[in-house]
Amino acid sequence: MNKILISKQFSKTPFGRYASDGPNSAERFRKECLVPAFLNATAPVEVDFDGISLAIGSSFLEEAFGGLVRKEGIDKDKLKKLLIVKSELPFYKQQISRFIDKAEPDRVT
Amino acid sequence: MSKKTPPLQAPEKICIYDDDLRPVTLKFFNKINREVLFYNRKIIVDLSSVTFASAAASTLLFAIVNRAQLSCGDANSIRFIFPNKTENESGHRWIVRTGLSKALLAGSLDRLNSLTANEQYFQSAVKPYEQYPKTVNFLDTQADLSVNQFITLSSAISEAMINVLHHAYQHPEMESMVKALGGDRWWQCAWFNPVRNEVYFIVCDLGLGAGKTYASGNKINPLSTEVDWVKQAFSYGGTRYAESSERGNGSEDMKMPISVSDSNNESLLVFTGTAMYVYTSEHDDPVCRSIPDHIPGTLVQWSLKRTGG
Repeated sequence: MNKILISKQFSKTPFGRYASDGPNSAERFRKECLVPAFLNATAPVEVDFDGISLAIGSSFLEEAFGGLVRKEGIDKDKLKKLLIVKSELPFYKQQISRFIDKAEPDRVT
Repeated sequence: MSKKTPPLQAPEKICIYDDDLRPVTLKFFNKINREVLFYNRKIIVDLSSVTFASAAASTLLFAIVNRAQLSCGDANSIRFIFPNKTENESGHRWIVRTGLSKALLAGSLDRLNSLTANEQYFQSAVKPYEQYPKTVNFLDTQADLSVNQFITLSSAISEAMINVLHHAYQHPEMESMVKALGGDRWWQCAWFNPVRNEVYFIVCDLGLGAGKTYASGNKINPLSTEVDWVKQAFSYGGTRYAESSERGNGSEDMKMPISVSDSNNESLLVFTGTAMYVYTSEHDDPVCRSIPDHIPGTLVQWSLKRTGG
């Protein structure tokens, strides 16, 4: 199983949706950590929130996880099957699940 | 020969919560705006007779004064007469001991940064990713909140700050103001009432207002009002990005400290334009109503009963 410990592999202070929101944005997290882990994954990927020193807002969670479906072409069912969210706070898991459910691939115009 | 402008007298009670006190408070704020920004005058504001200043009104006063100072590029464009401790103990407590007086004198970017560095209750910033950790750490050390309160309030604050950056000033008519303010600025206040054992956190911007921002990006019913727009903006999925299903989640974060509360003492209060939005832990549904006076921008206040860590 592939494991991503956010506090160690990305930042202890994830914040914001876009790269323009700050250095530890969801956009950067998605591109640098989540996409490589999920793109060709066949085994579960555990994303661990342990060690994060600040509460994470929904804009970060949506852009990171919903963005995998919307912008990175990751299949929603595959993502739901392989993603394991590890957190002491149950609402992270609930929110991520809701954002993935709601996400639809962006249409290329 | 130029005539010396007499000091601008503040009302005895500065408050925007109370329907009776709000008009006179906002009239006073408008006078400051008009004198400095319209007439370009240096003024003296007399706060010596103030006996009460509410948290929200104090934060809005800080914002109004600071915008005027930054816009005219003169930190000393507004001078103040503060309440004297022996003559007006109550006023001294609300204006001086809270640190509001220091905030009102922070008329330059360096002085504003000092407010944060010195962990004053009143602060102002333009970079959410820098200010958010400082604010959360400040709350963690100052406010004896439960873990649940702390996590949900932190998350709410992060979304409120991001909202200022993404939405508050996103209109061509705001561009020159944003430049003068050094970015998409907000003013904030962490306020503790030891008598009521309550913690308040307030974020205030002087942008377009939540309702008008929502209306600017959505097809709106011509018969709808600002109250309807604010209600929508604070509903799940409500955003000015009408075509973007991924946006509009932040308002849920902002309501979370109230909706997940175990007690009936929590509230979220929003003043924006001519609308007032109230969500309390006592009631399931928020209430949004029209107010006769216009509040510039958007002011969001959380009030939580401290339950201990």
